Order: sequence, then C-alpha cells, then structure tokens
Amino acid sequence: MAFTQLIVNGLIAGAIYALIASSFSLIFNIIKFMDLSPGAIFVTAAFSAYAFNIILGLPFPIAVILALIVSITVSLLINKLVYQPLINKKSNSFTLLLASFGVFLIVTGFILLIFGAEVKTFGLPITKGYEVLGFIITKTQIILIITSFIIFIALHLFMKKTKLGKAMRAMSDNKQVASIVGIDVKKITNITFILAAFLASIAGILVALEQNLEHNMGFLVILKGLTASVIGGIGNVPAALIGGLIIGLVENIGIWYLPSGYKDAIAFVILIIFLIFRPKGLFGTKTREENSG
Amino acid sequence: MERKINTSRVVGTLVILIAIVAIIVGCTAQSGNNNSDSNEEIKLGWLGPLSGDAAAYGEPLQQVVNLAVEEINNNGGIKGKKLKVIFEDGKCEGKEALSATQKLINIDGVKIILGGTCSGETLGAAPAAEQNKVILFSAGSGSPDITKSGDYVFRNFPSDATSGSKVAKAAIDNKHKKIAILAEQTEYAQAVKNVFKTTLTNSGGSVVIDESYASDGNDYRTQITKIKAANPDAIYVVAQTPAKYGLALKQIRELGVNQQIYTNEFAAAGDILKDYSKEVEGAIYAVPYFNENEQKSKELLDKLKAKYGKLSGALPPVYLATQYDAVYLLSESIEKCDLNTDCIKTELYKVKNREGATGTLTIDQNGDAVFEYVLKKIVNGKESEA
Repeated sequence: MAFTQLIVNGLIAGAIYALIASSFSLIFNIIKFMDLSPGAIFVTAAFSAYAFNIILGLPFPIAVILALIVSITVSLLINKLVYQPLINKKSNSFTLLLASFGVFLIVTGFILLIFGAEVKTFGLPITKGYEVLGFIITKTQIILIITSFIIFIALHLFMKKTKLGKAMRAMSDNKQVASIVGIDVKKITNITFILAAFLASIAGILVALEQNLEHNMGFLVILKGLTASVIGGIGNVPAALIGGLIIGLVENIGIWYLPSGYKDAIAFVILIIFLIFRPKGLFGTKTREENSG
Repeated sequence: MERKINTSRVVGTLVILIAIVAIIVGCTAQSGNNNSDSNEEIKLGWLGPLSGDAAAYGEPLQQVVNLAVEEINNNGGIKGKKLKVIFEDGKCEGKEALSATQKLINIDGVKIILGGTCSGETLGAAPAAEQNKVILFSAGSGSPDITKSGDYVFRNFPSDATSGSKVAKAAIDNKHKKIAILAEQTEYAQAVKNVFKTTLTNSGGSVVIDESYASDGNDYRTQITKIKAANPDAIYVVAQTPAKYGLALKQIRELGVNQQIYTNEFAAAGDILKDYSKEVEGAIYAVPYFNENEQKSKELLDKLKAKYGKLSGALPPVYLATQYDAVYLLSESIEKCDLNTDCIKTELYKVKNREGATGTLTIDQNGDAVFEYVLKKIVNGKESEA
C-alpha cells in the first residue's frame, strides 16, 4: 500500500520537475546556455495568478490567462533587454548564466517588495484525497499530473509535426544553416521563450495551487529542474519529462529507506553519477561543442 | 581581446544589477529609520530574518522595533541622543547571521545587537559577540543551547526546552505513548524535538518514527507516508515558519492521517488559524506565557494595530511583546551605562520583576528569561486552555 503511495508522491513531484526541466531544455536548445530565468517566470506566474484571482477577485480561468500573459511578457523582456544585448556582444555562456541568475534574484526581490514575505495560499479547501488502489490523491494533484502530461504530449507533437517546431529543431541543430535556409532566427527565439515561459508558468501556478506561495519558491525548483534536465539529456525536451519523473520517483522512494534528511542529497547524487558516467544524460546525443563546432 | 573587454563589462553590469537588488532589499529592510539626521545618535544593531520564509516574521518584528524606537526618540531619545537601529538580515541561518554580526560590529561599530530572531542566528552570532564584548540580546530565540552560549548573550524569551518537555508530558497524560515526529531541519526545531524525545522516552513513551524535512522543501508526502505506515498514537510536528507549518498540516490531513497533533506555538499564529483552522483544530502545544488582556500588553497590540493596520499573522503575539520590551530594556541600560558593555551586562543580570508588555521579566544567571511555557489547545479555531 505504502509503495503505490510512494509512486504517486514521486509522480506529483516529478510532474513539476519535468515541466520546469523542459522549460530549461527548450531554451538551452535554441540559445545554447543554461538560462535560470524559468525560475523567475515560475514565481512571476504564481504570484500574478494570485494577484488577479485572490486580490482582484477575477475568476480563476481569467486570472490564469492574465498571469500567462504577464509572465510571458516578462520572459520576452528578459530576452530582449538582458540576453540579446549580451549575445550580440558575443558573451560566453557563463556570462549569460550569471546574468540569468541576476535576473532571477531581481525578480524574486521585486516579488518580495510587492507582495511581502508572508505566506499566501489560494485557499482551496483541504480535504482528504480520494483513496484508490491503496494510495491517496487529491483533486488538485490529479489535475496537476493530468495537466502536465497533456502539455507534454502537445509539446512533443508541436516539436515533431508543426513547421514551427521543425524550425526550432533545425535552429537547435545549427543556427547558421537554419538562418541561411530562411528560418527567421529572431522569431524562433521569441517563440522559444514564449513556450518556455508557458511551461514554467503552468508549473508555477500548479505549485501555487498545490502548496502555497512564497517569494523564494523558485530556488529549489531551479535546482531540481536543472538536475532533471541534465539527467534526461540537456536540450532534449521529451527527455526532460523522463528526467523529472526519475528525480521525483527516486527521491521519494529513496527516503522510504533512508532518513528523510537525505531527500535533496539523493537527487544530487544521481546528478553526480550522471555527470560522471553519462554526462550527455539518458537521451542526450549532442554536446554544446559538437553543436556549435 | 575584444571578447575579454566585453566580458568584464558584462560582469560589471551584473554587479550593478545585483547591487540594485541589494539596495531594494536594503531599503525595505531599513525603511522607517532614516528620520534621524542628528550626528548625536546611538546605534543599535538588529539581527533577524529579512529574506526567505522566515522574513514573514522578520518584517513584523522590524515594525515593532520601529514603533519602540519612534516612541523613545519622540520622548527625547536616550540622554538627548536619538536611538538608531541598523537592521541586518540573518536569513534565519547561523552562517549568514555571523557575517551580518561581523558587519554590525566591525563596520557599523555597534556595541549592542538586538537579535538574532531564529535560534540558528543567535547561536551563529554568539561567538562573535562574545569575542568582541558586544551585547547580543535575543527577543525570540528559544533553543536551549543559547543558555550556555556566552556571558554577553541574553534573552527575554524563554528557553523552549520547557516547550518540548511540557508537550511530551501532555502526550503521556493523554495516553499517547507511540509518537511519530515530523520536524524541520533547523537548530530551533531539532533542539525542541530532542527535548520532546528525551522527556517522552523517559516517561515511558516511545518515538516510533523520527522524520524531518529541509526548510527549502515543500513536499513532505513521503515522510508523512512513512509516519502513517508506523501507525502512531499521535504526531509531534515542529516547524520553523508558518509557511512550512501550514504545508505540513495540509499534507498530513490530505493523506488521511487523523491522529492527534502535538506541536509548537505556531499553531496559534494568525496565518495558521486563518488558513488552516480545520487542520490545526485540537492541536496541543506550548506557548510562552502571555496575557493579551493585561494593560501593557493590550496597549502594545492596540498601538501596533493602529499604526500598521493589523497584527502580523506570522507569529503568536508574545513575540511582538518581547521584541518591544527588548528595545526599551536595552535603551534603559544604555541610559545607565552609556555604551559600556560590561556595565550593561551587569545591569541586565540584575533585571528582576520588570514590568513590560510581555508581563514580568526576570533574567537569571545564564542570561535567560525566567518565564515559562504554558500548554494550550486549539478549540473552535482559537487558542484555549489545554
């Protein structure tokens, strides 16, 4: 009985890690640096949804749409105002990584400034979850898992079947060639940021519903999301899903046997093992050098 | 070459960006204290959490300090000099608190620090304070370890050793002998938990499972699954902040764990009673003795409500009162001793039956406040006698 519960616990955590990991991977795919801003977007979306729904009293679906608009705009602005000028100056990926960390700190600082430090919740009623097959799951958690899986299937189809998705993959393979064959690099970059922000925002809103809102809620998400995307194979979007689920499942099953203080350590031990023995991740095929070289 | 110049420019820009954040955070941290333009001022350091989850109670405590300082300065200050507080963020961690303390001592040159707030902060700051003969006066740290942490370290807050032991005895009295523990991985929570555990096992009870969670984690479902499988008579929950406390309560009840909850005083924090009243109903906990209806206590709470609109929901009100009393107590000692810390130290050890917003304060030979935790229970969403 407990075991099925552990699997479900792992799935709930993993679904969130997977969403955020795929946000990281999407951006890495196109602009080839580890952008931490999905952590900032995650927080922005959660707090915007809270502001529209709870503070301004708008109906939840409208609040979600407005929150998505806000966070996607923020993401595009971050790209336009911070990353593009740096990329134009041919800054290396480490500089960009640092800049994205700065962006994360600034956004977190603003959220603290505007909303204060006290904890906020959407105030959904707390009830015992449904008991099925020996495990317990709440309605919010079912919605969380289903939403993320639907988004994953949609994202996968988008990348494989649509012209835009194909253009994104072409650009990921080789930017110069892509622009020579007539792919609008700027447009694709923006679309990538929109998609990545969408994924991070959905994760932020789902976590806000399931847990609560704190201005520093993005930090752990960055760590786990990055870990998941490295394990899956960085730059590989469907693999991020697998990476997220692996982390979610292993850390939850792991602390069944180990003291729970090791929970985060478990995730990072897996990360280290992957970095040593399979640095390209489970499904990774290309490294950055091979790509740009 | 070209690339190098760009990189340094970029790093420079980054430093500026980070500086902007620091200034923004710094401004919120220090707002309300720039009203003194006199050179004749007495500087008091303050150490507490102003970022992270625990900022939820760092901020209201800062408001209390600002209120007290404003009152003191409006009444002529200390011997005509204005009192000025320099707020530093201890982030609820020992390491951060130590560097903040070093900054306060070495750069700002303060002789007295009001803080830390979290026990980890006070314990982290204590060695630096002791070494520099700086008074460290905590108005909110409960860890039993602080009792022995130094001659210059004081508090007007009780050691929460009695919190853990009283709650453990209550569990035994209620025939709850097999207890499961869920405690946050912080100095405070672990220290209280250890006292609870020792008292429980010495009184014939047993801890069937002892689980913990990291302060930055939000998902305790597997810990709770383990607790459920251990089938305890009751659960003992100790959190460091209301944020995590609420989440723990939510996840406990969602996973269908319905046993009696024993806990710490956050059960009575306004935010918990507002958002998690159903989950916390019936919880038994200990809180430092505080009577909201006593004249001085009521006066303070009314003043805070009038000035800031409402009382903070992040903490039980006793924390606001100890913070307020601490500012007055320290300014009274400065009045007597100027900034001679050896003199202040001696004065503080002499404090006996001092009336304040918290009630009556006596400081013992260890620099600890002599007042006790009392058992309470949440009944119908309100704090009641246990």
